[in-house]
Amino acid sequence: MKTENKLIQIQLFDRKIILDLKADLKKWKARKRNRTLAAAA
Amino acid sequence: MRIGIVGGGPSAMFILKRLVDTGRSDFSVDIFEKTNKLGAGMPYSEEGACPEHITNVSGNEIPELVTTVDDWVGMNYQAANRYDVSVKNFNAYKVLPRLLFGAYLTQQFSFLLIKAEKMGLKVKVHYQAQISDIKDSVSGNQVELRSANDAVYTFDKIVVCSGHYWPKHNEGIVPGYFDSPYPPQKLTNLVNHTIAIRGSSLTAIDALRTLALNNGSFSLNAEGKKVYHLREDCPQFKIVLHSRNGLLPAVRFHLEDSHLSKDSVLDAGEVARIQAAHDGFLPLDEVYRRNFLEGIKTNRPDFYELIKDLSLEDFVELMMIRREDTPAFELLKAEYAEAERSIKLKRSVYWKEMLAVLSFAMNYPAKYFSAEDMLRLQKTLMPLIAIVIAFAPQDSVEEMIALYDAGVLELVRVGENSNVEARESGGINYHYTNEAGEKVAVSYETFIDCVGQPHLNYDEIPFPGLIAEKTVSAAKVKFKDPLIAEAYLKDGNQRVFRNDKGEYYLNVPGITIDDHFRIINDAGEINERIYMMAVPFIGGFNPDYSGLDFGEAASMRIVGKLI
Repeated sequence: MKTENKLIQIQLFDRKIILDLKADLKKWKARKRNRTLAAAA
Repeated sequence: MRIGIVGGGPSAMFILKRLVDTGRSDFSVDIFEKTNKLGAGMPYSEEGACPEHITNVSGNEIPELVTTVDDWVGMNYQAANRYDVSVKNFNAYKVLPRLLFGAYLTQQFSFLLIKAEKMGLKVKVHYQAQISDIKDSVSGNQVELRSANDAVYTFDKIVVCSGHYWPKHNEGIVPGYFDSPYPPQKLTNLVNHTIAIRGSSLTAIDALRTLALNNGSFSLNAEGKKVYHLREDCPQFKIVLHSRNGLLPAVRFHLEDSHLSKDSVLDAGEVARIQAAHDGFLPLDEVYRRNFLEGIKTNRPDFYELIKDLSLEDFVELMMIRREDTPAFELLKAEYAEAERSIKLKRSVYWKEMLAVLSFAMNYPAKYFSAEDMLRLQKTLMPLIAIVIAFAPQDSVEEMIALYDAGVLELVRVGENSNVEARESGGINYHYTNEAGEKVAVSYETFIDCVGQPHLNYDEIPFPGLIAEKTVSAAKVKFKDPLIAEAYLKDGNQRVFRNDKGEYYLNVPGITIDDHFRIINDAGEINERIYMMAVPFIGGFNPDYSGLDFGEAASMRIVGKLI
C-alpha cells in the first residue's frame, strides 16, 4: 500500500471508531436520561 | 546463599534470566520442575495445549529473552515446519502454535543454563520433582522444601513459580465432568451429543478447538472463508457456551506499543505520594486517569474529547452498549473485520490498547486501593477488561465463526446466579435464569469448566505447611468509610469483616504479599525468605493475569530483593 493511500485508510479506520463511539454515546445518553426520568417519576 | 525455585516454567525462567543478568555467582540456584521439561510450563506444553492451540501474543510482544522468536524460527525451521510455520510466511507480528512456542521457551531456558554455567553460577535442575510442601523456619532463617517422594531440601530463600493450578472437585468422580479442559488430549474422543462449557473466553476457545477438530474438519470456501464440516458419524455433536453476560471475547488487533507502555506503571514513590494525599489509599480514579485517559488524550485526542468528562462507571457502561445490543456472534464478526484492518494498517484500536495498559498498570498498586475501589474494580471495570484484553487470536475467531455458521456452536447467557449441579450418574444439570426471565435446568452428558484460572483463596494453597504454621495470611483491603462497610455487612456480604481495632476490611482472593512478592503473615510481618510468583494465589492483589508480561515485570521486582 502506498504511503498516501495508507494514511487515508488509517484516517478512515480512526473515523469509523469515532463514528461508532458517537452512535454509542447517543444511545447511552438517551438511556441515562430515561433512567433519570423513571427514577424521578 | 542458596536459592530454591519451585517450578520450572516461564516464571522460573524470568527469575533465572534476572539472576544471570546480575553477573553475580556468589549464590546457588536449585530448580524443581515436576515434568522433564523446562520453560514451557502448562500453557505451552502438552499439559495445556494440542497442536491446534495458538498463543494470543505475537513474537514482537514477547519480552526479551536470549534470542528473538523470529530468529529462533529461522534457526529451527524443521520444528516450525511440523506446525505449518515456515520461515517464508512467518514474521514477528504473527502468533505461534503454543507447543512450538513452548519449544522456543525450553531452548531459551537451556541457553540461560549455559550462560549461568559459563559465568560460574551454580544451577541444579531437579526434573520430575514435584514439591508437595513448604515449611518456613523463622528461627533458622531457612525454608524447607519437601518433594512428593519425601526428599527434603533446605534453602535461604525460595521463589514459588508453580504456575497454573486447578483444584479437582468432580473430575474423575463424576463421569462426563471436567474441572478444566487441560490437558486437552482428554477431549479428543468422538462425541455425538451436546457438550456444555462454562465460560466463553480463551479457555473455552481451547476446549472448543480440540472438540471441533476431533468431530469434524475445517476447510476454506471459494471466498477464502473458513467453513466447518461435521463428521457423518457424530451428527448430534454441538457445543453450548454458557456465559454470565452472554458476551464473547474481543479479537486480537495490532498493538501500537507491543510492550504496552510498561514504563507507565506507577512507581513506589508516586504511589506513596498519591496515598499521602488520599488518607493512605490509592484512588482507582487516579490510576484510571493516569494510565488510561492520559494515553488517549495524547494519542487519540478526538476520542478523548468525547469521553473526558465521563466517570469510570459511565465509560464502562458506554463501551458495553454495543456488546449488549448486538448479538454476540454478529459483534464477533464485526470485531474480526475491524481487527483485520487494524493488523493490515498497523493501526491500533487505541482505547482497547489503553485498557490493556490500565490492566497491567493496576497489578501492583491494586493492593493500595480502598475496599470501596476494589469492589468498583471487580464489579465495573474488570468485566470490560476481561473481555477486551483476552485478545482472541484471528485463527480461533475464524473457527468460532465457522462453527457458529455450521450450527454447531451456541452461546447462552446464564446471568449472575447460575449453578452447575453434578449428577452422580454422570453429566450435569445447568440451572440458570434464561433471557425471558424463566428459571430453567438443562441436562448435559458432558460438562467442561472453562472459566479460566480461578483466583484461589489462601487456604487452597497446595503447600499445607504454609497454612498450618500461619506463614501466609488471607489478602485483604481496608474500607475507607466504615458506614459503607457496615452496609455491606448488613447485606450479608461474607467477605467484609471488622477487626479487633474496629477497622473494616474486605477479603480478596489469595494471600498477602508486598510489592516485591514477599509473603506477609497476619501480624503484617514481611517474610524475607519466601516470594510468591504463582498467579493463582495472588489474584486479589494482582488482578491482571498477563502471562509472560507479568513474569517479566514480577521477576524484576523479586530479584531486586532476592540477592
